[in-house]
Amino acid sequence: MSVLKRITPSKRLVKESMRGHAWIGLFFGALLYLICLSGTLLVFLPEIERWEQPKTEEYLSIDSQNIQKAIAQMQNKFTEPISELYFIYPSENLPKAHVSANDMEWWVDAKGNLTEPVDTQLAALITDLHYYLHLPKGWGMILVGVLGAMMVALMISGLLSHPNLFKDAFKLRLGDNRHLEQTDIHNRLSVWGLPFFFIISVTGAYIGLFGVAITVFDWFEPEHNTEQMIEVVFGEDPEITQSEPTINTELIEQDLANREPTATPIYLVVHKPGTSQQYVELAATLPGRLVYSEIYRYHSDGRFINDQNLADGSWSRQVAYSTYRLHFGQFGGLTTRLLYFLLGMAMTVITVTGINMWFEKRRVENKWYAMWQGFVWATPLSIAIATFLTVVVSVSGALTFWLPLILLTSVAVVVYVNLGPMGLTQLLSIMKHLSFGLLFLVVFAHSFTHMQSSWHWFFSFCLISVAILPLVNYRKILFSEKRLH
Amino acid sequence: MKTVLIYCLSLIAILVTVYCWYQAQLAKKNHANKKRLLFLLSSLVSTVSAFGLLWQSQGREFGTFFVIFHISWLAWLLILTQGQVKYTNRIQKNKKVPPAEYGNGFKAVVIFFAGPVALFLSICCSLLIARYSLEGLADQWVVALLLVPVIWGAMVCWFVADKKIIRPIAVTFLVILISVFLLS
Repeated sequence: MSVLKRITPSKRLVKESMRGHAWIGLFFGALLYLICLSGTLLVFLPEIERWEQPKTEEYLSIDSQNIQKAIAQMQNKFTEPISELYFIYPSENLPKAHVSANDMEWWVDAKGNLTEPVDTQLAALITDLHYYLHLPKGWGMILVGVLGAMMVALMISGLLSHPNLFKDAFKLRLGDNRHLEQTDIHNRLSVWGLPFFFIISVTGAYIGLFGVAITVFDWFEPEHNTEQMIEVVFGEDPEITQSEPTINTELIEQDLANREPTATPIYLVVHKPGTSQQYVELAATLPGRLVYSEIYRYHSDGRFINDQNLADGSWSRQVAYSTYRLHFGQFGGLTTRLLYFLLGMAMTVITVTGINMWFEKRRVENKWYAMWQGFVWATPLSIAIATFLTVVVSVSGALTFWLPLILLTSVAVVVYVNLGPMGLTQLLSIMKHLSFGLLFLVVFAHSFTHMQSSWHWFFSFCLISVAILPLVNYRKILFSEKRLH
Repeated sequence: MKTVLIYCLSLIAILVTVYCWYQAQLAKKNHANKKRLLFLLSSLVSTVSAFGLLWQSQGREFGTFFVIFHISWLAWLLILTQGQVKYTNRIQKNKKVPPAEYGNGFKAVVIFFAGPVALFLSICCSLLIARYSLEGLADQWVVALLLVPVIWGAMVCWFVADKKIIRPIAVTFLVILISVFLLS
């Protein structure tokens, strides 16, 4: 018996897996679609932030004395105690620094002055949608983690329900058999993208379910509580009893440059600023390494304490600290992020075609079908509406997305009930055009009032290009048609 | 410039890999076994070359993931060249919608067991596997954390797929009992 036949699941297993796949997909499909779409957009989060609030000057480096000045200015803004004060270095994706503490964030200019509060509501809207689905943070994070695990479940059941995985690996049949068409798109995208989807789902579930899992681990580890477990995995915080009040960032940066010349600082944290326990952590990326950063600890006067061994500690610590960059594609520059965007889009298409397949297989065209189709096309339109309200009208919040989404999905159902499938098709087409039109309007309204550099125009052009994607007839462009009698 | 060139070369190597797989599949269809073997060997050589090139230019960590991820879109590119659009004038018959197989009570039981109960099982099970296969505490916990979604996903599949729901339920309780006994 050949190896392929040996690993081909039996007919019964295929049938049962298919049923399971359909169940999970139908149950979680809508939420998975939102997570995949928002995650795809989040790949360009720094660029969205940069585009959204372009007033402050841009620069790629800042003097250590000016960092010190920015930290001191930020500290002066508070009368209440601060637990941590962050200084985020300028980077190529976001070429301006900012400081944050106690939920307050300010942009910093190259001279170390705080210029204006960070006000990137659109970026926050998309981030919160992907991280928490706009639910309270704790529960939202868990739900998103659950969705990651369900994605893994869909991959396992999908693989088991696909006996012709290798035979059909290069097939793509498009045409008037909608079920066959949706099936081929769904299967080709999912099979070839499987390694990426698996990594994204496992890392996403790991991030989301970390809290729940570690709490249960705690029950079985009588010698360690949750905090101690986190310390074992990620390293302990140093205990400082005496500290200089001012932070010598110049000595700290000099020490890092001598210690690790190839390291690029990404952020600096002042722990317990203004107290006798004050100390500084400098996080820096290392070339060619997936770990988010290595963290170097310093006394306020610039004396080195230790590093957290995130890049050279146990392999498990390195793996645990690599998940973020692997999940969000924050490594390897623009090429990686473009790749993540493409693969993320594929993941989004897979969730949509999966549910479409279920309807097409049964030739079901009812109000549920209309609701699903309405939801799929109302989502980008709702994002466009939220973008318009946030960026142009300065009205922000989760409702700017959810209200249009619910309303437009309901409209799709009403139109289907009253005007039938033709009416629904027309409405969906209007939604696609409106998404594009609204984004076009936002880009120009925002550009003419804010934009100075060519980068902003380029990014605006990219946004419009993405909005135009659903309007393109790919069949006409890519394939020759055959008419069979 | 050199890095860009190496990157492009590695993409070509990955494309050759996918193309060789495609040709191997065609050869299998035509029962040309020697040709098939040749293409499979070529795909192996080009894959190794892609890894080698990307490891050299991007480092081992980035390089490995780049090969894995780039295969996807390059394969889609090849598939697009194979795509066909067919229209028929035949009228498609409407299929009967099968009646719902299960009642709401059954579905509720499945969701309960596939949800929180299977999650608890997956956490216990992954911790147990990690504890008995690894020594360092941090290693155990990180591996367990990464195993949780995989085991949970597999259990959810089983719960929603098996017609005899009693089987996954029985196994779940058995595994939870054994895990709790061995872990505590």
